[in-house]
Amino acid sequence: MRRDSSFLCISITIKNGGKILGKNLSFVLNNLEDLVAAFFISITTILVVINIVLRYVFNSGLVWSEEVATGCFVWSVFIGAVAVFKHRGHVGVDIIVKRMPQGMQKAIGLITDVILVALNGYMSYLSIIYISKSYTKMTPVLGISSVYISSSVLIAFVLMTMYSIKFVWQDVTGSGKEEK
Amino acid sequence: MAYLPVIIVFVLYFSSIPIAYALFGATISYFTFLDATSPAHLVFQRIITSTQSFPLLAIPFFIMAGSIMNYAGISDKLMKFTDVLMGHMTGGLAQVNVLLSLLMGGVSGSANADAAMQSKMLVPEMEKRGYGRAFSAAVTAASSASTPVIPPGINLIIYALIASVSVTKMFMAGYVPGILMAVSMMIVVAIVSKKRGYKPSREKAATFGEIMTQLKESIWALLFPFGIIAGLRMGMFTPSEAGAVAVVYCILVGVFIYKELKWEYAWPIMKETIYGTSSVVLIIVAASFFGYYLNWERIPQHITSAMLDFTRNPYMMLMLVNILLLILGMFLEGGAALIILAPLLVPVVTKLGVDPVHFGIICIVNIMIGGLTPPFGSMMFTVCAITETPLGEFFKEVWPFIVALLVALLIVTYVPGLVMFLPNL
Amino acid sequence: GCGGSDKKDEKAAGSDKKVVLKLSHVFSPDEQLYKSMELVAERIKKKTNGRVEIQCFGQNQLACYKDGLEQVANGANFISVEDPSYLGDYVPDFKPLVGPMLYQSYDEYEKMIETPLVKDMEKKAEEKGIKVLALDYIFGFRNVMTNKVITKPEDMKGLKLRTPGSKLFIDTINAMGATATSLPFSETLSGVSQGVVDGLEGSEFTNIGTKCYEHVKNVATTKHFLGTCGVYISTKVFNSLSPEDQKIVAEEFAYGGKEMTKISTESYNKVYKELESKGVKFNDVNHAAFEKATEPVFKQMEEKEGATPGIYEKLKAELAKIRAAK
Ligand code: NA
Ligand code: NA
Repeated sequence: MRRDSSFLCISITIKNGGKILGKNLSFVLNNLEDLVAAFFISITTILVVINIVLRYVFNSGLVWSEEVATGCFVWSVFIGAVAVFKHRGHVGVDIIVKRMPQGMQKAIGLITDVILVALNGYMSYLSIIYISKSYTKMTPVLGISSVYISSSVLIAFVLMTMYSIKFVWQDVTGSGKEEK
Repeated sequence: MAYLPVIIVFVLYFSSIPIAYALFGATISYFTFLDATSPAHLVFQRIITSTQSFPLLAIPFFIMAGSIMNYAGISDKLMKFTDVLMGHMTGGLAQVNVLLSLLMGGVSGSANADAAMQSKMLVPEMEKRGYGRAFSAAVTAASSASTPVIPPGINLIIYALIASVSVTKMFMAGYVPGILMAVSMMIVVAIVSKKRGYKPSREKAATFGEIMTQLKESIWALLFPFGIIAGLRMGMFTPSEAGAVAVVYCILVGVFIYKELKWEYAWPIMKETIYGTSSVVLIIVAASFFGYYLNWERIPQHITSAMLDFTRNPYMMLMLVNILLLILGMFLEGGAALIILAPLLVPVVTKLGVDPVHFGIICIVNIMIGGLTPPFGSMMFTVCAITETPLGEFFKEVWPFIVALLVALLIVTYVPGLVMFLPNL
Repeated sequence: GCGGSDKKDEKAAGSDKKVVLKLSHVFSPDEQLYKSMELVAERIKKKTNGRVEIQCFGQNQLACYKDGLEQVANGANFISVEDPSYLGDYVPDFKPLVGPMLYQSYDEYEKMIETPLVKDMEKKAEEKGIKVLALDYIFGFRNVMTNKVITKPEDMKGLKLRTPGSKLFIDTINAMGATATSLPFSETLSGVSQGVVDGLEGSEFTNIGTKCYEHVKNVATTKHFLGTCGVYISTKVFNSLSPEDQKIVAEEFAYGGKEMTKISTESYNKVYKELESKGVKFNDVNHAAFEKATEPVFKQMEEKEGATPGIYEKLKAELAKIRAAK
């Protein structure tokens, strides 16, 4: 089992993460996906809270809030998935592979990474086709093009394709080994 | 040929490809190569529709709430509270370990998070007081199995979404089984501690006054799950909204009451929320996509009728399903096992009159036990890795706890009234 | 959508190659539509000697609503059973066809869908890849349930009504004078009993199913929407069937619709009596006043949602003809 990937990935939740938020450019670049996902999940949270307050205090609600909240959630999930992918954090089982001889392990690692390139690439290709056929589809409440939501999936798979190509490159050149 | 994607999933999974991608890969190859009567690009429809769902929002919200609680120093206060309650008993710190996991269930809802936290917080302390490291690790891992059963456990929410049962009912149903699991493990701790002479962690029992003082400090965390349930029961908000309310509650408690929540924790809390949410939701989405293929081929119907042909006795069937889940739980990651197996098994047992809420609890308890056993037990790995305990020594100490949990599982399975009386109130 | 309009695909003609079609809807096994679909599938299988097998999937096991139609429009071996308004994504005029306050009886709607106006809309859908097999799996009118007696739009002022979270419903209820509050269906009863809303809009079947009648005692028979489902298949897939099988499929789905409307009428009468026995009062409304109030909904469809300008007047003209012919 990849160890940092306890199922919910809630890393050790003792106060070890309280590093001061570095506001420089390299922080932003290194954490771009995380920042985007954090932005969207914040919008989702705020919208749901606002709607509860409106309902109880002002006896009304925003009709579009659910649609926007879930739309932002989709963005957060898929961009967040890229962030997890980048750190190889998605749950998988490598205990069998680990029992194999070193050479075999390397070979399987390369093969699985190539499969990931193919899979993510194919998913990116399919999502382009899907979006080109479905962008006229309107959302039920706001009546805006569904592309505002579906493009998150395209962007996520394109980014994951790029990262998986990087993984293959690392496998071949033997660089970046310790990126657990 | 219809079953080929199932084989592909397992092959990919065991070659260390993340489970979500194994599911995507198998399904996509089915609609590309095996059955092209539904165009492959329509997979995206399934991916987006299954993600853009309001009920799913309960997942990030409760993960966020749990994370905020931890940064607000909740774990520490709960530990002091368990210590005044149990510390004077034989094997006091081990009992504290068990009770703390139960109480943490109301906050974190994730067995791995709980196991990781207590491995760091409690195991070194236990070793200092003369407990064996392997025993300490075993108590920590086993007791964390009770955490996800107490509301607002994420697995309770996931099961409710997948089996289309009320989240509120799943929450209500978790309490008694969670307590039962804890009690069964406390008995094991008592027996082992007595035999080995493990000392209490405090000289004598705490006075009523001491207990009250600690209770006052911890009350905000202890009341948290009850507040959520009250709000849900009174129809004040939907489960997803309850999650958002929980986030606000935890922020308020952290900032104004405990005064330990600081701005600098915002980023780690966000990261935990995003990573936790994305990895679990991606598996749910991939499984729903895989489920689309299963439905398309009517495989759930085939499995249902095959199992019903085998036996129509609900007690036999539950035994069968329990064994199946225990075996599969050893090989599949806990949450993933739940997500993939529940849609297949729920129709079978409900046909025999088993309440899907009751069955959900059985599944979760079962899968948690799988998390303690080789070859792929996730809590086992988490604890052994952090405490640097060899797997062999760990297993020597953990098996009595597994036996205790199996007894609890049998009771949960065959005394449905115990599980169902709270949700049916 | 994708084309494949008049491609006369005669390849399959005469061959006894088996075709498997997946039919998907959102209803559960105890609902009439579920039973009707099983019945039609069975009859088609028998009449085509097993050449056309339709596998029915209820309860959203496959794809529903917009997703179901998208499968059809993309040429999947798929039959989608949905409200005709969902066709509006492909041929916008289907939205006003099932717009608010148009029909007073099932019969008027049945006659409307036989008019050249609607047949022409069906043809347009066929060109966009969606062959319409039926439009009249009718389950009933939607009315307004509150504790206040409502006869005219002014009576609705200040009332909060539960609606599904769709734009058409929200716009309509607001246009009728009330304030639309969209709650999930599962929250309907608790919303009504705790006064989150003052009432709801829906059919009498919903009323009895949710037990809302325990809290709201009046039903204003506004008939603001006619609840109905259509049956849609990919043009390409339909054309790949032999002419003989095409005929059987079309006829059987038409037959199923007529049967279901009959059954719905009967069970409606039963539910109506049951509700009356529980103390629910029904009252008529000033239909013309509500019709006037909801005109802006149609204007919006014509101006912003792609419906043909003047379609509303045309529909009303057809309705006038139908009513005059009686
Ligand atoms: Na513990
Ligand atoms: Na589940």
